[in-house]
Amino acid sequence: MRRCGAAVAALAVAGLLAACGDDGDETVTRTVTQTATTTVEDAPARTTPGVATDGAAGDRSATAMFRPFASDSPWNTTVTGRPVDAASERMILEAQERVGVIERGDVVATERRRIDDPLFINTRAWTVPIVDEENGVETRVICRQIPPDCGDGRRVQTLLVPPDAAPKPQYDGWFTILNRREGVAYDLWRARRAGDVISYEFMRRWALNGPGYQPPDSVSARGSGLPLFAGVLLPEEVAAGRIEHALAISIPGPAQGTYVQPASATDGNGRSTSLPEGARIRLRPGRYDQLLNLPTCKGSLLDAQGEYRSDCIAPRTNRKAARAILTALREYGAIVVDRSRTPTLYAKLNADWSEPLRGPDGRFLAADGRTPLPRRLQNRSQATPLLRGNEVQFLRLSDFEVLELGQTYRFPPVNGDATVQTFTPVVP
Amino acid sequence: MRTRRLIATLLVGAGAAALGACGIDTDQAGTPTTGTTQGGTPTQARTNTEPLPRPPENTVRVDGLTDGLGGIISQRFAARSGVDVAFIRTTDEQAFADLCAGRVDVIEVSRDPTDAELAACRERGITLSEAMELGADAVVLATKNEADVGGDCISVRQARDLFRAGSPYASWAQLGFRDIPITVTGPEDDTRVFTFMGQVVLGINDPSLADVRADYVAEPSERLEREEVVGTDRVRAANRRIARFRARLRAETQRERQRAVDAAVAEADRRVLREIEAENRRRAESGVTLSAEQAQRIDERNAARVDRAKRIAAARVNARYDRELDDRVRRYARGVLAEAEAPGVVGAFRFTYYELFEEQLRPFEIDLGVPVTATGSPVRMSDLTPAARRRLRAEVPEGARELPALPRGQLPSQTAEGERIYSPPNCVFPSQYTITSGAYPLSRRLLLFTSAQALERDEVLDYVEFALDRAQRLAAEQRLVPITNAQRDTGLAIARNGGEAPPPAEEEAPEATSTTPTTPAEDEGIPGVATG
Repeated sequence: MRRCGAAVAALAVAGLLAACGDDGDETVTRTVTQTATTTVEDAPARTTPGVATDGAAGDRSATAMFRPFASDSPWNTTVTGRPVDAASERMILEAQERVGVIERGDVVATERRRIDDPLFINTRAWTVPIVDEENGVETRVICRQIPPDCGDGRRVQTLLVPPDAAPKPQYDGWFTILNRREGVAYDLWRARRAGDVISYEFMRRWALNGPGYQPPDSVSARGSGLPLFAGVLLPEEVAAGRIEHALAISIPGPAQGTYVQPASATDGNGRSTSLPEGARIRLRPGRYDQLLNLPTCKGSLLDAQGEYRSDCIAPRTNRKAARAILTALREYGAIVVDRSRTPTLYAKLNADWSEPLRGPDGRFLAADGRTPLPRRLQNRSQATPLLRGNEVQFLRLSDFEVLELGQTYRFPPVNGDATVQTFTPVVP
Repeated sequence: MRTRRLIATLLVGAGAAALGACGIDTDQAGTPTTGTTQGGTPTQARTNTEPLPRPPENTVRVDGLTDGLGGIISQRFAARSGVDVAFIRTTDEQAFADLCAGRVDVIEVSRDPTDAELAACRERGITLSEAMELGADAVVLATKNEADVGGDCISVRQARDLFRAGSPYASWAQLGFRDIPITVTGPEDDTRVFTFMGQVVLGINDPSLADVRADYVAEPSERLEREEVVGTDRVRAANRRIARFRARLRAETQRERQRAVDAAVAEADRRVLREIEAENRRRAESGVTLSAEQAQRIDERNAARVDRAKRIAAARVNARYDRELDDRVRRYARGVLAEAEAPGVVGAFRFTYYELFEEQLRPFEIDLGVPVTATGSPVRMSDLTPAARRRLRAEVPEGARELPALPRGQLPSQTAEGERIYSPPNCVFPSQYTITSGAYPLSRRLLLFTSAQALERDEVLDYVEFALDRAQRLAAEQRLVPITNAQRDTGLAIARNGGEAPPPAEEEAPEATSTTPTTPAEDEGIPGVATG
């Protein structure tokens, strides 16, 4: 179970042993992570705001860190003062529902189960590796489908990819290749590398100075039609403690059949009245202040019900990162990009998130990111890693409010072209 | 397909008695035969002799599939409309024969008509409608998710070779993937899922266990099959082994640990006592005299110091032994779990089951292995221009209906109608769209056909509209893959247009492109696509 896995990952880092299997074996720590399966089809052939044009390579944040897309993109604009949707509470409740399966012999039934899971950040699996043209060499890219089904890949023969960079096929083979010089990025789905060739099932090309989304009823490597690399946590911004863009979030029960922009499609399988993909959510103002100064957990990280405690923060958690994420969730919010077993944020996969916090003198720092650890604790095993996934595990979807939704779109469109159809399940 | 021509015609509807005269005769020879109603009442049969039989009033006659939606649609339509429905389960061939002989009004089949069937319809003056899709079903071949056998795509032929009796494959390396042993699992014999798997994967109509590989692991339920793929039992067993290993290791090192603890405790005891003696000496040398009360306090404090030092010493040794124990268990567990979680097991699942557990299962893309058009349909020889057919005479076996995979230089670039022809691979991922569009090769579509003549009758049009309107919900109920809204709307438009597809809306001009579409070089291996 993903939920159990998330908890175990955190506990294991904390030096504790946790049981995940049915037999309660104490020695096994398996990291099981988020799933988010996406199916894709070709986008309608038309000019889209997301289609690349040569030009500036994205935007610079106030701290001069690279951030993709134009400054007025939904990814880069703040949500301060934006009104809350009248149905916010109901949508948040329904977004927590996930489809549970009951199997009795040959009879398979489904039911919706509401579980207010804590937020987890995917750092090692089910998130996207992002590479750029630096140190890149011309690498052949081949679509495994016939060209009409390859998205923008039908006209791309080679890309600049570092020789040691590769997608992870076992996690849906997501892969983003930036070319900042040309101001474009390529998202691949089900990609695999062997030698100097990368194959894939679908490609979407994005302009780094574009809006970061497509017109309605356009698909991408994600179920929502949004870029894979948008809203992903990058190591430089986490290290700096400043995140100046909206975060991508996946939720258990996004609405099926409807979405709002910036999404341009949906693979939601929740109630049709649930939180749609593309919706923007924001940390409730009151919660932000409460959460900023949570004490460090003493004893078990789980409460009496076995749920992750929301009244404290796990030991050796990078508080600077937690604060930066909370601040981003308050100021920029999060955009629903996909469905997942538990609410999930994304961090760049090909980054060393286990790198411990260090001061300018190279000494390991405590969880506050400022104080050096005492001399006896100056070893890597006692240090605080940059990110391990549980930094905001005291947060739940119920800590968020939904900002007023824009126009709601049907997907697949009622009178539209059948070929844009991508959503997978129709859960009875 | 197991032919299950029911001798008893299933009559559904409000007035079974009134249906007595409405049985369906499927005798090809046209000899009058006697049909039997569900209630066993003999009925006068219709025949296929000229002229076309006159349809019974207020009755829709339907041929359907055993595992299709026709039966349930007919029941519900009859219950709600007041129209009687005579429904029979039969094969595709028989259904087309019945429709073209005017013996039935509507058929549910799993394929398009052959040229011969179209000709038979024309001969009898029956104008066959366009196909209207009701739903689909598909088999997904999946390995464990979050693991990798080293490939993503296999061809229909390789899928068949993987499952069939006498399979040549024992390792994924034989398909150009990683060297991991292959285990194949799927449903038990004599189940609908097994039959369906046999039909679409093995290409055998009535499969049995003799048709699958000898080491095929037949599971009595989809849950057990999934657990076999995911390795749930193997991981549980591995965890038990790991727990036993830990207990054994602890027991084995217990004596050594105790000795180390005792030694550390004794050393701590001696060290603190030496410190106390040194303090006492310094006090004596400096001439400090203690009252009895002070001496007692110091004694008590010293005793506590000794206890604490011994406790810390014991805890440190225990912690060191625990760390070593954890390290050894972790190293052991890594190997044991890696073996238990090996991703080499592949299972055949119904798409609707895979969908429910998509976070646990990783499907293969499937390549038809032959040239296709943009819709993913194989190119038939009859789709080619006569010139292209003549040119290929040497390469294509006599009587071949479909264009085989050919070196790219020999492949015609387009069909006679100007559709572009693409060479393989075309690795199709299973999804609702690719299955209901027929692009995913291991799928079966449920298609409704009727005739222009039948659609002139209100009750037939009502039946077809009813079927299409409810197809999505009924497909979900039956664990089939529902059609899309667009497919439903297309079907309805055909039905309301006398069986013909309405003229297409003006299409956008294709995007101008100055570069050649990406295609792999002829001899180029494509990562993830099986070889061998």
